[in-house]
Amino acid sequence: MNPNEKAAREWVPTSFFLAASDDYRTEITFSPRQYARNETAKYVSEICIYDPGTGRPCHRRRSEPIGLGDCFRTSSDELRQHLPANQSYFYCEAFNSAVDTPPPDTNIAMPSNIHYSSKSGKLQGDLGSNYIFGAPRKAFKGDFYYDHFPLGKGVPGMRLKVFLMNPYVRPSTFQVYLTSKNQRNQIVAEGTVAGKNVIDVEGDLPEFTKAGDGVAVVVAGELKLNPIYGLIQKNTGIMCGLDHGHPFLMQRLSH
Amino acid sequence: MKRVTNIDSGFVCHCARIRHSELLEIFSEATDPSYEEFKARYGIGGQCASCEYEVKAILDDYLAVHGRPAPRVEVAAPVKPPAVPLRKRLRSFAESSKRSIFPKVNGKACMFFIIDGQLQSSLVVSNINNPESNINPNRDNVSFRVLIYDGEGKLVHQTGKMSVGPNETVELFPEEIFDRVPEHIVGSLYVEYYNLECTNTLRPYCVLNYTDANGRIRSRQHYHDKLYTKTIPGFVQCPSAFPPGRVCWLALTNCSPRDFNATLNLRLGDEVKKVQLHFGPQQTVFRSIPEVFGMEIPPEGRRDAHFWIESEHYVMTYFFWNDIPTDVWFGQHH
Repeated sequence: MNPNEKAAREWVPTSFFLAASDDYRTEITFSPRQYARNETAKYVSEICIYDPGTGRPCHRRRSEPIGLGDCFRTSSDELRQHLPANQSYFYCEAFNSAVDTPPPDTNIAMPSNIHYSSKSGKLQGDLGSNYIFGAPRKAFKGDFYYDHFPLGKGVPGMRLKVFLMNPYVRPSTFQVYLTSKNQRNQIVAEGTVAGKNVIDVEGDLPEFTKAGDGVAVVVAGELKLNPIYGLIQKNTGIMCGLDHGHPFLMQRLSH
Repeated sequence: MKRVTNIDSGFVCHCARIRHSELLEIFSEATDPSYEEFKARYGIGGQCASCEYEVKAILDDYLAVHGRPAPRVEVAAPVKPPAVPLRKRLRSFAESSKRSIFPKVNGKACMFFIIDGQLQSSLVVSNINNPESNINPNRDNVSFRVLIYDGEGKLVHQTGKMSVGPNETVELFPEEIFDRVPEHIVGSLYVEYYNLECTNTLRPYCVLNYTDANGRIRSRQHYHDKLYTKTIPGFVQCPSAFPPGRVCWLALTNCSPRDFNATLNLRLGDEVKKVQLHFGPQQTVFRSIPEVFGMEIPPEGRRDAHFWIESEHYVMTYFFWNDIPTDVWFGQHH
């Protein structure tokens, strides 16, 4: 392709949070074969970590060009020495792309795999990095952007922990609420997430029984935030569930 | 040194110091709004470029509402739309009546399902109204049925029509799905929706409930449906196959009615181990990675272990990890 010619599609970054402390460990991995099949292309992963104090990049880690079947790995052990001290969570972006090769289809983002562990058990899970742009779906947007997580009946003795990532440079207000058949939009947390930042909020869950009503968690954000939903055992603090939600989808998905 | 301005400020582009409202004003004044034009004319995204994707997304939103200005064309005389023939109108009325009398399945999703000792799946379906208007895009109640296939791909249970009301979230444990709960089943669960207008919040999830010896739930890992009919752009893979202190389990389902072979690969350093699996229609396999490849995990784990599947057809895959020190299960789709 002529270097002066602009491709119809461009690769875009995805977001995630890095947990790095004496307790928390994060492993970040990118394997091109998960999203691509072009064996002739070379691929590059660039991790950009933002300073929670300023919202500006404070460290970048770029892979060497790798082949389709290769795997680029880095972890908080390696990255931590370059980051501000006394912080546990960092907003990050993974910009994974094929060198000199534009995306062949609408899959313009190649996420990384994020594997969390901790000595205390307070953070554990496995997630893909989140789409900021490029997810081919149509979502409802009103005065706010909405994300939904079907918590279900919940369990006595568990708390809800929500991580909120703001991939934009502007701060965004947010509200986290619970909705059930009998009570909608019951606020559990609200506040502001600064640009290029991540915060975590916790809230008690009503005591549910198997026979009772279920509940859904809804996050309303001024900007399109990337929320992640965790469950915590109240008595031990151990994380016992971590997953992402979905926006209110306007189209009908049938798999 | 550039001043740090992006905390508690309303700038979209900090370099050009342009706020969101100013951006919309610029868009409204442009004859053919494009990111490249604003970059050249106003310097938006022209220096650090960190706002590029955000400006493009705001522009996309703006164009979705206001539309791209139409090219100037000669105005033709108004054309009267053709009348819809009576026969066509009657057919359309009959079809709409038939839909309400005989609801049709028009949306479905598949997930892994298990009842096995301390592991038990439950199904969560959530039908939340528009948070602002409190209007339900699926006209309030949504009907669905649940089908369960066993590991061999045999349909073992099908529920009658169930429903979820507006703002309601239902979680169905096995005793609410089966008339008589089987002691052991490893297979797949299908949710089939009737007359669905749009997915809204109805993307179904299952929860892997893990109970301790006293029957108390220790962990609840949500996992949602995965695509199974479309071509995925790459291959199913897991780079955390042998993390220290954790055993990684594979939940593999063939959601299609055809059978095929898939090759499971595990790379450890320079060595690649391969195992071929045959998948019959709707068949499910739930095995740990060490068991599949006939090996022991070293106590310190192998951080370089990398698992992937090569297959002509899509294998719906979830990875679940049993964390031994904290005795919980968590998981992720591929």
